[in-house]
Amino acid sequence: MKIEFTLNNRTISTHILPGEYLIETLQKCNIHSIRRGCDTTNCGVCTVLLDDKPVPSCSVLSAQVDHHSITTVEGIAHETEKLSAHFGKEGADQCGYCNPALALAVFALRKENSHPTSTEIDEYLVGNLCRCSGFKNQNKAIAAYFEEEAYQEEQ
Amino acid sequence: MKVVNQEIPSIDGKSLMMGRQAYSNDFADTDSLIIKVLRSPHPFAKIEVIDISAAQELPGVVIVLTYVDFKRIPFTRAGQGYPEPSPHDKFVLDEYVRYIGDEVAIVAAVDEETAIRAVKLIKVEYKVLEPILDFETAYNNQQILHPEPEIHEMFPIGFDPKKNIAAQYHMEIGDVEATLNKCDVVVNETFYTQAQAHAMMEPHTCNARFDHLNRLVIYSSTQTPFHIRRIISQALEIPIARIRVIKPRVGGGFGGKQAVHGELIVASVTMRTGKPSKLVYTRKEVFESTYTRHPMRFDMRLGAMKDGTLKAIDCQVLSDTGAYGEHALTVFMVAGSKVLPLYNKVDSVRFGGKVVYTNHTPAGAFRGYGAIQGNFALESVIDVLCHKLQMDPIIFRQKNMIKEGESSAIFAIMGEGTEGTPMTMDTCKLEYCVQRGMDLIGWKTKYPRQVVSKDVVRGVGMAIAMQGSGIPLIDMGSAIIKLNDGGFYNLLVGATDIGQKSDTVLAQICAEELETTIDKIIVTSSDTDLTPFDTGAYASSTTYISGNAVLNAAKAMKSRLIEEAAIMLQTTIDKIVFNGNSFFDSQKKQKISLEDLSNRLYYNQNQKQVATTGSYVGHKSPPPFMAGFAEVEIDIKTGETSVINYVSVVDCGTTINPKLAQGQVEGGIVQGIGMALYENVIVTKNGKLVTNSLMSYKIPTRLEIKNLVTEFAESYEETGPFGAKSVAEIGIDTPPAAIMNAIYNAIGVRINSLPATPEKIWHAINERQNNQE
Amino acid sequence: MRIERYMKASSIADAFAILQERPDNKIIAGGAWLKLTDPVINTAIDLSLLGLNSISEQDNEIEIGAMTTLYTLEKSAIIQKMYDGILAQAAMKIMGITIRNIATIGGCIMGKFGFSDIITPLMAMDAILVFHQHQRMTLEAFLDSKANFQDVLIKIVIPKTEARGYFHKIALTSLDFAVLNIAVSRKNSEYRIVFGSRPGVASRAFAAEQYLKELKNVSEDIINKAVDMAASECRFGTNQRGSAEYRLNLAKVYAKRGIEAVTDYEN
Repeated sequence: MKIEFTLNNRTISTHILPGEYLIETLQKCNIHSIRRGCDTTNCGVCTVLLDDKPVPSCSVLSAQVDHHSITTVEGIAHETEKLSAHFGKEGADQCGYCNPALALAVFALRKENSHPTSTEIDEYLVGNLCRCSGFKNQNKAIAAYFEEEAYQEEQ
Repeated sequence: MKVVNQEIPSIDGKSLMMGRQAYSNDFADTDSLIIKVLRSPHPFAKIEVIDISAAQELPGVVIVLTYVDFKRIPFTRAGQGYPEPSPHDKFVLDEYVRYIGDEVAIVAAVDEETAIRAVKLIKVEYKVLEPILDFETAYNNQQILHPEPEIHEMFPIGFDPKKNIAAQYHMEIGDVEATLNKCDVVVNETFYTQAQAHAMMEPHTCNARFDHLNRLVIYSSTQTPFHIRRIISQALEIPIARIRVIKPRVGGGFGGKQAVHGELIVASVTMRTGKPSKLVYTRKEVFESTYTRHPMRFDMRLGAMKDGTLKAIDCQVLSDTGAYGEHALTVFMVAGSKVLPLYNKVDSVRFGGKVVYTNHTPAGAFRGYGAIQGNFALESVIDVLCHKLQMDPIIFRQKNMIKEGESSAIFAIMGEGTEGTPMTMDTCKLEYCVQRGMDLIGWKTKYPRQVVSKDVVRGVGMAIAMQGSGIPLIDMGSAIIKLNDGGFYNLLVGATDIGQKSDTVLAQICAEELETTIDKIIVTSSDTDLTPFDTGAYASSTTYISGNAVLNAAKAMKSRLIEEAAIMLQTTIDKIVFNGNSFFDSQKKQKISLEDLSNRLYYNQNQKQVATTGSYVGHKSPPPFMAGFAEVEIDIKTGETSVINYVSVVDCGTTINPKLAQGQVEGGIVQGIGMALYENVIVTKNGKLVTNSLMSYKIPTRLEIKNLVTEFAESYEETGPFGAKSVAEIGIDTPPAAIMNAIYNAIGVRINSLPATPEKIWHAINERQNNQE
Repeated sequence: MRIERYMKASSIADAFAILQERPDNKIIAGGAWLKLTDPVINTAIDLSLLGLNSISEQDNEIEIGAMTTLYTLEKSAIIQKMYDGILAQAAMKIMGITIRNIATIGGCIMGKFGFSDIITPLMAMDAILVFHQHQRMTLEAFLDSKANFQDVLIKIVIPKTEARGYFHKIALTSLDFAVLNIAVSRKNSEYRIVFGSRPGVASRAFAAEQYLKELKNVSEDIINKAVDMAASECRFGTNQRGSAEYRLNLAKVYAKRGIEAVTDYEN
């Protein structure tokens, strides 16, 4: 079947199988940032934004995104770069495998809540697993990112 | 120091977050054959008939391989130096299958769906054999799991397959029984640890193709590219010169990617079909068909005098290596060699035991590598002893633990598969770590417990730990530094960045010595064709071993640059001062910049390439030390427990990058908390792993981790690069014991088998109440 | 899992008609656990064009569209308020946000999942299901119904009321299924005590509810008696997440805490 959707502000028209999952379709579109982690919808590594909301691309049928909008980190490069600078400062990045997904979730959180508390950050991101970092430096980096963005906006 | 000991952002973090092509699967050829593996549904069986005709006939299937297609060459997948201290007890495919998930057949097809369908079309008749699923019954069991005649050890490791023993060892210093007889207090306790899963976020994956020279090129998510190359050559009889292994970015390893996993499979398929191929493990395969931590039983006995002097330690271990003996001996030995020296003043110490085969998923390397298991047992039983002595566990440790300038006889006796290396603790800041940790956790006000409400109690507990920094006289690292025109450098290292950010740390060491900034150091790791040899990312070796290699290469580069600058400036080397950017001749008051020097060297004058090599093999393995303090909160009605504070004070020598070092410690702490409380491993009575997905195997999430405080002791290890020791593993060791001690201090029950799930704690509370009534 | 055909229904009647065509035609509620099942679906029916994804306040009831995601549920001011927000609390403890953005309340109900954290508070709120063919039906009646229920769930209706509520989920980690979940509610003297993930699907402790209803004031003894009644009335089993014995203990401990919470009883 044929679907049409927006991928990072670009219109994609493509043929899919009715049972095809979004992660497969995106990989065919040469999106490298979406990776598999678990096969059971538990790890968050394959997160993309569907109409600005984080969803697991391993569990969304491509047919469901017909006429919807999909964002991957390739589509929020500027924001991701800013967030990654905070990760660098806090030593919050290790293997990096989960980081594009995390960046997307942070971006989505910011659209919903530009002044989250530390707990709200963790609650929002709990489904994004990480086995390397110990989480706390990630939390500090994300909090610092929100603080800086809030400061920039006030200026 | 300008670059070392500075909080410099990692060199690749930004690109990785931005989703660049970086990991093994990103580099698979788009027309790769997709490989799927038929795996055993039985814990132990002999393949009597295997009919692959229907699978072969399915359109799109390119090749199906079974054990008949492979020459019987026993080898070990362990991914260690050569000769390995692990038995050669594995065949690429065998007519016997020894655990649920063991490889039966390999299918390569044009797409995933076809490969999956073909796997289902393979008909296998198994003769199902009685498995051994309880490791305490494996030794001398009438069922022998490895009867095949070809298997062997590479040097004596106590290998005795007829008794289901993969390895065994025994040592005694002094006379433990005699010493115990003289002690005022003797305690004995038994402990069990579980088959923890690494659960790195990137599943194991590799892919293969032939290049334009008809050489086999493999991208692999591995910790040991050089060992992988050697093992492929040995097991498949491919000339080693025809193999190239490239390790791009790796999405976490923790020991789980030290061994060979799919590499032999993709190599076999591409060799036989001439076509590129790839294998991506499903998460179920990662759980069932790679490795776990070795489950162990510890029978511990301690003897002490009334004044709190520890006199004797007896540590007897039974370790379950599962179906194959990868890392069987060495993990088991580390449970003694990197744990028992913590209490170096005893009169007698004995360590010994067996590593047995069972029909479980094989065990292998995992961060902590025996030390976490041994630490849990020893640091728990020390608290049992303290309780019996009615002594504060910190005062006891301060009295008995190893201190700077001291040694332990164990270092000389126990190595990893070989004899050990004697060493004194030139850096050991344990006393500081314990004192500082006490202050940070608030021990004086919180020990042993605080009642929060009717049903909620808090307690604190602690443990000390040590690890190593590489394996002396075995682990070798090397580096090549190449000067480029424009005055920047390539740093080529075999050291394997698997996400621990070693490329950044090595670049910092290089930049510090060359008095430049890390943007001038372009790091390549690791590619067996391009980068020099390194044993790989394991045994906490990269910063210390590979870091020293980089430092040696950088020192050589500095000397070479000064020589060339002296020629250019027509002076002698003793007159040259180099500040990283320019060379000055103080007498003649002239200078040349590094950029100009490099440009002239390559284009104009005295033309030559400047490149240097450095390598390093450790002559000792200076242990990092730490004190870990846990504060737990327990609901006494339900056993629900959380760690509300974890304080770590670590002596790892100089932290080359303090933030990344903190990340290593805290990542380890959280994995240790997982092992202590959450990571329950459930196997059915038929040997099937129930907890074979991230849905059923629960690693800690960011909401479980409440507060971590991590500090480093001031410490400078003379033999380390700029004073550094290792930091990769030390963080994982203390949580199991510290948390169990904290639970005991809070509610008076001791959990001796991991993990301490709420239900287990609740049962223990009930039992205690029943005993009191 | 294989899907032969995917279609977006143009009306509820349309969806119902396709559903009736073959037993292997299925409604895609959100898709969260779809790939973990192994059926062949002939026609996957998508309800996303039918406007079933919102929450609205009517005169006497709150209506929750069957396709309302768990995340919409937890963020809804109406849901956060009613019964002290137990449905919102239950939703926000389910897995991560990515799943809550696709999983729907309808999917949680139609799956009749034992582990459901949603069914438990809904039962404590006297939820009524509105189907295309079966019309209005209590949640309990639906759960008791036969397995093959080929109907289209349109909305979930909760009577508007002033009521107290308590919800608690006990799980090994924040991303695990519940060892047990519990909801307790009170409207005047009318109580609901519901245990879910027993590991079977949620069930009510009717006798205990009745016992509490007949009493004017609660006391420690009364609560203890109600808790014992509730725990003995509901069955608890063993699975990988916990034993029957442990679940029974959790049920007692949290039923007590729940009753205390909804009655503002302080020991």
